[in-house]
Amino acid sequence: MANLKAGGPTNRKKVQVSMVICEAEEKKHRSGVNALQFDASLSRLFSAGRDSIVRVYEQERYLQSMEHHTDWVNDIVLCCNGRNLISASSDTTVKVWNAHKGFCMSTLRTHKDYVKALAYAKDREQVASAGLDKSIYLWDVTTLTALTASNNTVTTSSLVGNKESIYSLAMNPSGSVIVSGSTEKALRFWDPRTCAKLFKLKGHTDNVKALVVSRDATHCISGSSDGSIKVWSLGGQRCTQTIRVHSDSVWALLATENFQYVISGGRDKKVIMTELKNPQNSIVVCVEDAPVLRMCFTADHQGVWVSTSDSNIRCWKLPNEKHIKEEAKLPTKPMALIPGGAAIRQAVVLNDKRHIITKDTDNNVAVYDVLKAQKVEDLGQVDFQQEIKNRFKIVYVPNWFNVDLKTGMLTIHLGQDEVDCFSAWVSARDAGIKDAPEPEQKVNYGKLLLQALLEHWRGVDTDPENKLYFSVPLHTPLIFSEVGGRTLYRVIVGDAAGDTETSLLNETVPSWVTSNVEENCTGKFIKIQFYLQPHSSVPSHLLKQDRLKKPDRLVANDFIQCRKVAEHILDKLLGEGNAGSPGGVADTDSNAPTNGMTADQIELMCNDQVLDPCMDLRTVKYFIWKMSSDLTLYYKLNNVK
Amino acid sequence: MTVLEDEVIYTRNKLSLKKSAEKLIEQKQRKRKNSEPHTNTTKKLAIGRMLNGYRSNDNHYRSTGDNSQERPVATLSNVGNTCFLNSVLYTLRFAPTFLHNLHHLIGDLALINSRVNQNKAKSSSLGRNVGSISGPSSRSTSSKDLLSLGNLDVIPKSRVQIVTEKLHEVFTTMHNLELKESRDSFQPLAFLQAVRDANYIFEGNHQQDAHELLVYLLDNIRETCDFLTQLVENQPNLLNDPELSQSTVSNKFWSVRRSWKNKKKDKSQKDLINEEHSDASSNADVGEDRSVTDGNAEKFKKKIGYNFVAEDFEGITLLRTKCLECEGVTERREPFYDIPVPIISEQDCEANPKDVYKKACVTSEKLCDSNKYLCDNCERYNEASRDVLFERLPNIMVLQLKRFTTTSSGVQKVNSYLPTPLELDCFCESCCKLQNRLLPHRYKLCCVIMHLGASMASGHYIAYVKITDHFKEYTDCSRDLPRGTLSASSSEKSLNLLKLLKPRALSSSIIENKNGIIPSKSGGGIGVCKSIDCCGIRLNKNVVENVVNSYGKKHAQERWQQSTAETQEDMWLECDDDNVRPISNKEFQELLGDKASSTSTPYLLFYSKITDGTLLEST
Repeated sequence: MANLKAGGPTNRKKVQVSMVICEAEEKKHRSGVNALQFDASLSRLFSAGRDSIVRVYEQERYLQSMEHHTDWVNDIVLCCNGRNLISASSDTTVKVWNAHKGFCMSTLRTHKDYVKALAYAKDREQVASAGLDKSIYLWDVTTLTALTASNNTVTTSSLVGNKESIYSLAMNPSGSVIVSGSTEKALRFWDPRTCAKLFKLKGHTDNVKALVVSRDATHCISGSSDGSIKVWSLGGQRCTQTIRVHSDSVWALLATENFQYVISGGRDKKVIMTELKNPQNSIVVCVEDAPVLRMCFTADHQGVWVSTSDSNIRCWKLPNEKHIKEEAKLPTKPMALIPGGAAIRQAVVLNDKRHIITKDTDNNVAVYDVLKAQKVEDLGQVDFQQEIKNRFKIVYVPNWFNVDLKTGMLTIHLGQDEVDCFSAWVSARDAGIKDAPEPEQKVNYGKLLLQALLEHWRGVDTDPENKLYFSVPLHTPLIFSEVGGRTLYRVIVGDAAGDTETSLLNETVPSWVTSNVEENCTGKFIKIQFYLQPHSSVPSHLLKQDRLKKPDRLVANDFIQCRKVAEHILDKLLGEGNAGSPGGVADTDSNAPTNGMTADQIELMCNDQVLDPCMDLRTVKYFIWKMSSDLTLYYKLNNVK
Repeated sequence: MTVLEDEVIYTRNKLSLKKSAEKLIEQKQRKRKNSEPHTNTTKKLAIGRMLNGYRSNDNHYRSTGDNSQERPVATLSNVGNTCFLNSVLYTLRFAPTFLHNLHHLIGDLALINSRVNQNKAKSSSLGRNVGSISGPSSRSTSSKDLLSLGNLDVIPKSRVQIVTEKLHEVFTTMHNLELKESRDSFQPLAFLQAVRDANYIFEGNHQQDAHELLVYLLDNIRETCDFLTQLVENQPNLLNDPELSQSTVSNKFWSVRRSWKNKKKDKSQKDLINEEHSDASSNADVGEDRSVTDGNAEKFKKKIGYNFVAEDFEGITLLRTKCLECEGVTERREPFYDIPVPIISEQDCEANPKDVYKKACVTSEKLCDSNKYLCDNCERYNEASRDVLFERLPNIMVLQLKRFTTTSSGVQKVNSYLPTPLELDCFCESCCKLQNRLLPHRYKLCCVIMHLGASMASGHYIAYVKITDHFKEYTDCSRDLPRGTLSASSSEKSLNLLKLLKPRALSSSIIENKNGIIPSKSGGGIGVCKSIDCCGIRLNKNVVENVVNSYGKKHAQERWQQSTAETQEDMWLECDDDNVRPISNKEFQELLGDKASSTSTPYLLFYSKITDGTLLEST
C-alpha cells in the first residue's frame, strides 16, 4: 500500500471529493458551447463546452474529446499553427493542450476566480488570460508548451488597473495593444510589450462582453449588454460609431479581415452582419434557437460557425454583395450542423438517498444509482413529477452528498458544506448487498462510494469490514477541490493506479477520506433520542413499578428498527428483568420470551399511528413524528393472556 | 372589571406619588440654580434615572415660562417611562388620514358587531338560548380582556381589536379635552394596559423602542381591518340591511363625491399609484353619479374591508437580481411598513440632502467573489447584480434611522448627523426612471420622532408634528355612516348636537384662515364627515397665532397673513409628553440642524406623499 501523507498543508481549505456520472465517451456537447476555434489546415473545429469538455470535430465528424477541466470552459485559442490549444475555465485554471493528440500538457493556476476570456497575438505567440479576479496575465506560448512536470514554473506579467470583473479581452495579431471589457462598462487599453496602461474609453452603459481589435491597432469594436455595438478610434480615443441592430445584449463579435463588416450575435438569438461604413446595410445571417455565445469563420470565410447556450453548433452562410443588394436571398437552413446532446436540467434525490431521478432538456427522464455512478433506467419522456411520486417510499436516510448540474451532467460532491458524508448507515439487505455475511450488518453509503472511487489507488482491502460491494465505471472522473473554490486534482478512476497518479493522489486525498475509508468508522453512528411510554391500555401489573413514574429517555442508533425497540421493551421494561442502560438497545439481541410474551405482541405507536416493526427510528421521526423535538413512542400489548 | 379599576387606582396613586417626588426634584433644581450645586449629585442622578423621561415641569422653564398658558392641543402625560408611547400617539394623531380612517374602521367594526349580534339575537329567540350558551363560554376565553366588558357585544373581542379600539378612544378623549379647552393632560392608561395585555414585550415600566410600538400598532390595526373583511366575507348578509340602504339613499347628495372618489380609488389600485392626497377642489363628474349609487352594497363591502394601513403605510420593495452570465432577471417583491435607513458616513451625505435617503435606500450591489449568485437558469454560481428598488412607496413613508446597532458591548446608539429635509424627492421605481424631469410625486415631512439620550434604555422621545387638523380629509370623505352606529362605537361618550356645531364652525374657520380655501361644499358644515366631531383634532388657534406673533418678527402678523394667503408657512408642534408647544418652521429646522456631538437625534421620520396636483396648488 502506498505511503500515505495525510492532509497536506495545514492552511488548506477543506477539500471535497466529487465525481461526474457520465458515459465512457461523451461525443456530444451536453450544454451550451462557450467558444469555437477553427483549424483551417486540418479542417478541424474545436468547441469549448459548458460540460467542461473541449471537443474536436473533423469535417463535422466527432474526432475526440479533450477532458481535464472540471467546470465550464469559457474560452479557447489555437496557437502555434494549430499545434497547441489554450483553454480558460471557470475552474479558475488555464490549460495548455496538445491540440493534435488532445491531451493536457500543463495547468496554470494563477487566477483566483473564473477565467472568462483569452486573447492571442499570433505574430508574437503571446496569449493573455483574464477573468472575474480582475487580473490579466500575459503568457509566452513557447514557454508554456515547454513546461514539464519537473520544470513547471512560469513567469507571467500582469496588466494592472482593472477595478472590476473582466468578461472580454482582445489583442491584435502583432500584440501591440490589448483591450479588456468589464462590468466597469469601460474599455481599458494596455501595451502588452511594456505592460503600460494606455487609456480608458467610456460610453457603454452595461457590461462589455465582446471585443475585436483591428490588425493595425487603429480601431476596436465592442459589444455590450446594453445592446449596442460601438466602434472606437484608438488614435482619437473616442467612439466613432454606435450600431444598434440587436434587440438585446450583444455577446459575440467577429470582424472581416479588412474591418469592412462586423458580424454580431447576442441574447436575441440573432447573428447579424453589418457594413461598418453603411450601418443601414445590415442583414440577419440567422436566428438561432438560443442566445448566441460565439462565432467563428469557416475556412473560406464564406460562412460562420455559431454556438449558443444550446448544445447544437450550426454553420451558416454569410451574405455577399448580392444579398446586401437584395438580389439574392440567404438560405434559411444551415450549411452544416453538429448536433449536441441533452443536458440534465432537474435532479431529485429519492428518499433512499441513493437514486437520483433526472429530467433533461429533451424532457427525457432517467434514474441514476449514485453508488454505481451510472444510469440504471431510461424512462423516456414521462411525467417527471408523477415519476417522483411513484417512487416515493416512506423511508428516511440522512443526506450524505450534494448534487450539482452546472455541467449538464450529474456531479456528486462528498464532504461539501455541512453535509456529513458518513451519515447514511443502511443495512446490507436494504443496500441490496446479497453476499454480505449478515443481512443486518450496517454499511455506510459514503464509505462505500469513496472505497469504490479510490479502489484502484488503494487496492481492495481484504478485511471483511472494508469489503468492496460496489464498483464504479473506470471512466468516472474523480475530482478533488477546495470547498467552493479551486480544483486541486482531477483523475479518472481507472487511471488511479498509475505511478504519477498515485503520488499525486497521496498528496491530494484529504485526511477525512483516508481515515474513514481505512478505519472502521462504526463509532460515527448517528444517535437518536426518544421516550418510551406505556399506552394507557397496558395493564400496570405488567410494568415494573419504577417505570410508571417517568417515561424512559433512550438513545439509539438512528437506523434501529422498531422491532428492536419492541425487544428492548419485552426485555427491560416488562416483568422482572433488569433495567439496562438505555444506550444498550442496539446491543440487545435477545429474543427470549419473557412472561410468555414475544416481541411480536408489542405494538409501537407514534402520533396515534401503529409502526411497522421494520421501520427504523429515523424514518419514524421524519415521517410520523415530524418534529425536531425528541421522539415519543407508546407501546401496547396485543393478545395478552 | 373590578380588577381593572383597582389597577387604575393603583397606577394613579403611584402617579401622584411620583408627582410629589418630582416636585421635590424640582425644588432641588431650583435651589441648584440659585446657589452652587452642592447637592448630592449622585443622588439626584439616581432619582433622575428612576424617573427617566419624566421631566415635564422642568421643561416649562425652557419654553415660555408660563405654566398656565393655554395649550395648542390636548396633551398626554407621562405615566412612567411612557414617552415612547406618547410620541407615537402624537405622531399618529397628526399623520395625514390616519385619524379619519381609524374612526371609520371603529365605526364599521361597531356596525358589523351590532349586526352580528342582531342576527344572533334573532336566532337565539328562535332556537332557545343559543346565544346564552355560546356567550359565556366564549367570554371565558377572553376573560383577561377586561376592557372589552364596557361594550355590550356578545362576540368575544380579540386583544388586537381592543388595542385598536382603545387607540381610537385615546383620540376621542383628546378631542373632548380640546373641546372643553381643558388644560389637563390625559393619561392613556387604558390604552397602555390594552397594549401590554396584547403584547408582553411592552410589559413593565421601562423605556421601549418607539419604532417597535409603531410597527406593532400598525400591524394591529391592519389585523383588525383583515378581521373585519373576513367577517363580512363570511357573512355577506350582514351588509344587506334595510337601515343601511336607507342611509345611503339619504346621502344621495354626497354620492357625487363618493363616485368620483371611488373611480379614482379603482384606478389607483390598478397602477399602484395612490392619489389619496390629491386635491378636493377638483370638479366631480356629476354624470357618473347614477351608475355608482346602483351597486351600493358592493361598494360598501369594499369600503368595510378598506385596509387603510395597507393602503397608506404599505410600500413594496423590489429586489431585482440579474445574472451576469445569462442576463436573466429575477424579481422579488416584498411589502414593507417602514424603511430602515443605515446611518451612512458623513462624506456620503455631503451631496444634496434631498438625495440622502434615496441614496441610502435605492441601492445596487454586485454579488461576486465568494458571494456569487446561484442562477436557476445557468444552474451554477455566477456573478450577479442586485438592485433594491421601490415599486411603490406608501402615502405615509416612515423612515427608521438605524441609530441603534448591536455591538459586542450591547446595543449602542449612533449619533452621526443625517439631514432631515422638509421635502424629499420620491424614489419609487417610476420616479427614479424619470431623471431630472418633474417627478409625479414628492414627499413632505409631516412628523418626526426624536430620540434624546445616549442609549435606548435611558433615552427620551419627543415628537414633532406639522400643525394641521386635516379638515380637507373630512370634507373629502366618501363615508357617511348613520350617527347611531357611531355612538355605539364610542361607548362612553354621547355626542350631542350642541357640541357638534361649535367645533365645526371653528375648524372650518381655521382652514379659511390658514390657506384661504373655502371647501366648496362644506358651507354650513353639511359636507363634513361627522367623524371630525368624534376624534378630530381641534387646534387652539389662539395659541398657534400667539406663537407666530411672539416669534419676534417685526411684521409677524403681516407675514402670517401673507403666508396663509400665499406660501402657507408650516407650523410645528413640539410634543414632549404633557408639554406641547408650537414652533415655527425656522425654529424646527434649527432643531433638526447639525449640532456637533448632540445626542438629540431624529429617529423616525414620517413623510407624506404629495402628488403633483397638490404641489402646484400649494405653490
